[in-house]
Amino acid sequence: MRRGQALIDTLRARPWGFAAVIAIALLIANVVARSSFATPSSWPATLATFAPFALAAMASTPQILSGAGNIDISIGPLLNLINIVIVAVLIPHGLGSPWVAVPIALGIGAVVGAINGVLVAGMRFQAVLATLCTLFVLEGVAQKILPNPTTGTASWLAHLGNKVGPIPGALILIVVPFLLWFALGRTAYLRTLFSVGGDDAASFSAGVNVTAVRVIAFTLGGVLAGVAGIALAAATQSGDASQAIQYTLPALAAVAIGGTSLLGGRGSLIGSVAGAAIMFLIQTLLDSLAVSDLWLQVVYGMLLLLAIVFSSMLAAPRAVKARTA
Amino acid sequence: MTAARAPAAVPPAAPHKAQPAGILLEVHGLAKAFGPTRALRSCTFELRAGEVHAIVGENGSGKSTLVKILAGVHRPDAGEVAIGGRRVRGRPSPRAAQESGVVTVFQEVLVVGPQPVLENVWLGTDGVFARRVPVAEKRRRAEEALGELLVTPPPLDVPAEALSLSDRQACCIARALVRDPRVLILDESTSALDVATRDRLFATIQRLCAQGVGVIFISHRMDEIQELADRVTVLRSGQSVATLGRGDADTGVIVRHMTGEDHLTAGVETVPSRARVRGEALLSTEGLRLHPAAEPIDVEIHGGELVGLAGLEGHGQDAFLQALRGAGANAGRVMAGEEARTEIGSPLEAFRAGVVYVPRDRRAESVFPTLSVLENFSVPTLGSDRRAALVRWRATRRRLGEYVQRLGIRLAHPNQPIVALSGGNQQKVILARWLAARPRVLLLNDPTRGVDLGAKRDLYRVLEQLAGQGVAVVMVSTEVDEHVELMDRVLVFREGSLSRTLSREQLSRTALISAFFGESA
Amino acid sequence: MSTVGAEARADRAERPSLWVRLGAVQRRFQLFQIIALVALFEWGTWTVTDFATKQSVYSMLVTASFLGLAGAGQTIVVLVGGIDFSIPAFISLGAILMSELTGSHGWAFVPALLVIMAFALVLGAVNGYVSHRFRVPPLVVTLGMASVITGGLLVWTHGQQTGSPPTFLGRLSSVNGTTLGIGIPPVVVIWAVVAIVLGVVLRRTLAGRHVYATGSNPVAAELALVRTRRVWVGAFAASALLAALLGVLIAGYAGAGGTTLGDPYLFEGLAAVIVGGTAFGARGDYWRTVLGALVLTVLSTVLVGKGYSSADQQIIFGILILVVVAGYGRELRLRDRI
Repeated sequence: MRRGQALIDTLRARPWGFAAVIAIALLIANVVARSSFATPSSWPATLATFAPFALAAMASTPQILSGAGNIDISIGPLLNLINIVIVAVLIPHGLGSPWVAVPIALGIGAVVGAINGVLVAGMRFQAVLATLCTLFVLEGVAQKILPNPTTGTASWLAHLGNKVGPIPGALILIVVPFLLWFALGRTAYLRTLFSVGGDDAASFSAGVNVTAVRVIAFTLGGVLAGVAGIALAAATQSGDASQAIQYTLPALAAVAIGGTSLLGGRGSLIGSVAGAAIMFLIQTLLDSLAVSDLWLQVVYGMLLLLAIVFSSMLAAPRAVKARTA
Repeated sequence: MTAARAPAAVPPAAPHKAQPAGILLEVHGLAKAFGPTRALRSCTFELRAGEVHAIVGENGSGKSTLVKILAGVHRPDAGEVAIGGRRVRGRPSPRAAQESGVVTVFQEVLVVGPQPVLENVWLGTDGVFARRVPVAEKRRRAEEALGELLVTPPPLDVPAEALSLSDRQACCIARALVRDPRVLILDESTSALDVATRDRLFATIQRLCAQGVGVIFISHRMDEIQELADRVTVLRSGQSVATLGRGDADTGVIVRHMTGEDHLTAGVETVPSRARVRGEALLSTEGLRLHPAAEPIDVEIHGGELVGLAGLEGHGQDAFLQALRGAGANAGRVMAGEEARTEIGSPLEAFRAGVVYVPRDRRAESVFPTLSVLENFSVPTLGSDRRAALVRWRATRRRLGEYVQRLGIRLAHPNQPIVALSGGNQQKVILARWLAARPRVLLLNDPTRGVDLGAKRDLYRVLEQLAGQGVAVVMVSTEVDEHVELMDRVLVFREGSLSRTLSREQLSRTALISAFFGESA
Repeated sequence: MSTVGAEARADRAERPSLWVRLGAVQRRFQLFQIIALVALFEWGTWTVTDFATKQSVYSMLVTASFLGLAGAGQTIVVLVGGIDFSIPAFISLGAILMSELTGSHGWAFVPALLVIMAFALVLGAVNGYVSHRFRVPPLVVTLGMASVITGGLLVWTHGQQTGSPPTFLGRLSSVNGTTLGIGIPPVVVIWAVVAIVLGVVLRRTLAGRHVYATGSNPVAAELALVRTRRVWVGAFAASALLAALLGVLIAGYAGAGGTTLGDPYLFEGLAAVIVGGTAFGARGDYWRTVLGALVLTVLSTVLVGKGYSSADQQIIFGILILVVVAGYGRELRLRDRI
């Protein structure tokens, strides 16, 4: 009993630890199942497939951390749209240089994220409804830009999809959000974000500009979706408007598995990566074991359900302290 | 730790009035309405440097609204606030108020549970990105402030949710202290504090006043006001009716200003208790414990009785009422029904045995804001209006009609949204909801909170009538006068146990208040 | 404790403005939506050829029936304060089980239908139970459930759906179909029956009233002896059941089952609910969804007639929902929660 309590306390303090342990175990299982998984030459390709996944999960995290049931379900279509803009608009129009394409990609992400943030935090729309509307507008725009799948590439994209010097390109992309997060950690923002997510009424009454903090959280998510879009472009070097929502469910599942509370105020970026790694490694493991990947959706769905039940039980003390006013 | 340093610096007995110094804050003709409810009509007072200015009034007299306007939470509809002689303009926000030196500690304990104590103390001082205070200084000053308030201050790095309620509230007060306020507003902030912390807070208040800070102090406890306040402004029905100096503000005078009358129940014909028929036992408890360490409670409540539950906030009267409705006693049995022989294990069982509970917080616990008066009225009793599984709304309307007359509900149409009614009328609809269940035992949780005087008197009349019809009424009330003037019996709770029972003959203000503090009168 | 309520007798002196009064009318009676429906229909009649022919109107009614039925369960769930993203999965469940069980496994129609209903009720109930018991957003729970169901169907059929549903199902939703000899497509009649039943259930049964009480204020509902967990379980089970039965109809219409058959109905069904004027927190009823489904169907028919693509429609619908929600169901201000 007391040991159980100690475990719960540890997990509450570092909710991503559990996900990290499972991710490592799955990694080992993957290597056991298929030894080629461990060969360094296979890493760039594996990481390139993993990167959009991990980045989509990270891009969904700040909004959820900002509390009040906030969530951005338009991240999937957003990163797909950004991928399409790079592959099917910028590159064919001779704007494929990274100095042009990267700022545009991040800019689109920031603008769409900010619009979501203003709708939710400023105009008080329910986050699910507002971002659902954005989701469908983005999907519509993607279909208008690219009615049929196409391919397109540039040398920097090919490098990012493979190796930049000795380093797998995808690794660089995955590190970007952490750098951003670290930089924000040097400012007051991250702590304020966690405060707002933990209790928005208390933060507001103490003088925190809750609206600004939330709009920035959505904008930040949008920027990370821009990075994810670049990662998708690098990994696939093609665009397909019909793939808009393939990342929505896995991204949310990864966030929840990574120990971030869907009620806000508790969680981490690293947890989301660990969560994404779990889902990705399950996929590769099923592959190696020659299990039909038809099972994948079942496994994803079960994982998501188990993760939210588990994390809700961890966060239980707060649920008990329900507000009286 | 620097505990006990600052309080010791100021002898509590010293006259802490600064020179007849400047006026820090002026409030003139302030008014605010929420929909049809005019929470504040016209409030005027001024706060001098170095004084403790108490604001008193009944529940619903507008104190909280006034505080929220001063704290920048709400924008007033009319009137003006001047700080240091300069009129406050622009869009209000808690941040803007704090920047102009007005810092508020709210009644509700507003901490961010998962964040550490240090973060909670300094919450809101930084910009969205900019850090305004170095960490070392934050730690030092947080320790200092908490050390002044608490005998054993908590470590700064534990999450606030791990602290006791009193320590959490101390964090909120420390949050105000580290901002060096010019005007400090304490809105019933003492109700969550334990006695030691409260005494230290009072010493801190006196230290601040000696330094020229103005303190607006809101409390429903007369003893605190007597001890601390230099002046008292009384609010009644959203209007400031008087400002009294220290010498004039004895409890009787304040109460008279608060109620506008000498007695709350003036105009209600009280059935003399001896004439009231005491019926059979309808509700009883056997070995009921509210928490493991509490004394067991054995009580029998009879038909025709009006029983008050009293005590300082949070001393068990509320928990006892919850236990009576079948929700969460620690141990023991609650019996109801014929001669109180059926054991009650859940609210639904209680309801079936004729025990009905009217919750305290109207907005959070009773009102269905998007539904009509008729729908609000009918939720628990709709089953009786069915024919062949279908609800006949005409029958429901007829039932509501009875209560509209009996309770004097002012209503344009049964289908109008309930939120369009005033607070008192909403409360009457809620009461009608539960009277319609034809209870044998009516449990009420502070039903006159936030209700105007007229509606209060209507309520008292109804309770007298019900008792006359043989219903047992059990009521938690935070207002001493309600107990004194209305009840046949008052059970006083202290630290989770039933500490005294006062019969009608023994009831008086002083007897009751001394019982709160565990003294015998 | 925010004690805002104060005395306010005889203080509602000033006469309400025109906007306030219009707002009151709108709340009781969907003025805006009815005007929009009539205007859109007139616009279509004047600007799109063959818009108001019997054939075209019937085909609009059939489309609206599917849409309205897809919004039926969602209406209930939104009224209790949830949202159901597993509706497309339940539509697929109904469609695939019906086609495969009758088409490939030789079952009769009725046992297949009973199996579908049982699956839908149980899995829908799980949605409601998990959301309520663990206080997790129903959005995420239903997304997870949708993934499990769709994946389960793929595994069961090995990714290939080969069966086709009984042919009489196809006739139910044919534009030229007749109902008991009357020249109205049966699916429209089914929709009308569902609308009447659901309207009566929501308005005049205890279960229906408990839906409103729970959605309007769950704490107060619990204190008023409404068992809110049962209400949530029931609402999500009903939503799943309605979606699965719609799936059976759609299988007949499409002639086969498929895991993506239900996808369009998530957003459009929700759009019908919201555009009709039902909002989170127990404002609205199924009749509004019926109106919303009609408005959206006429609007999209006009847009198609004018040559807009489905991508354009999606964009327009997205913005339309935002506009409608702006008028109705926004969240409380932070300052009103202290």
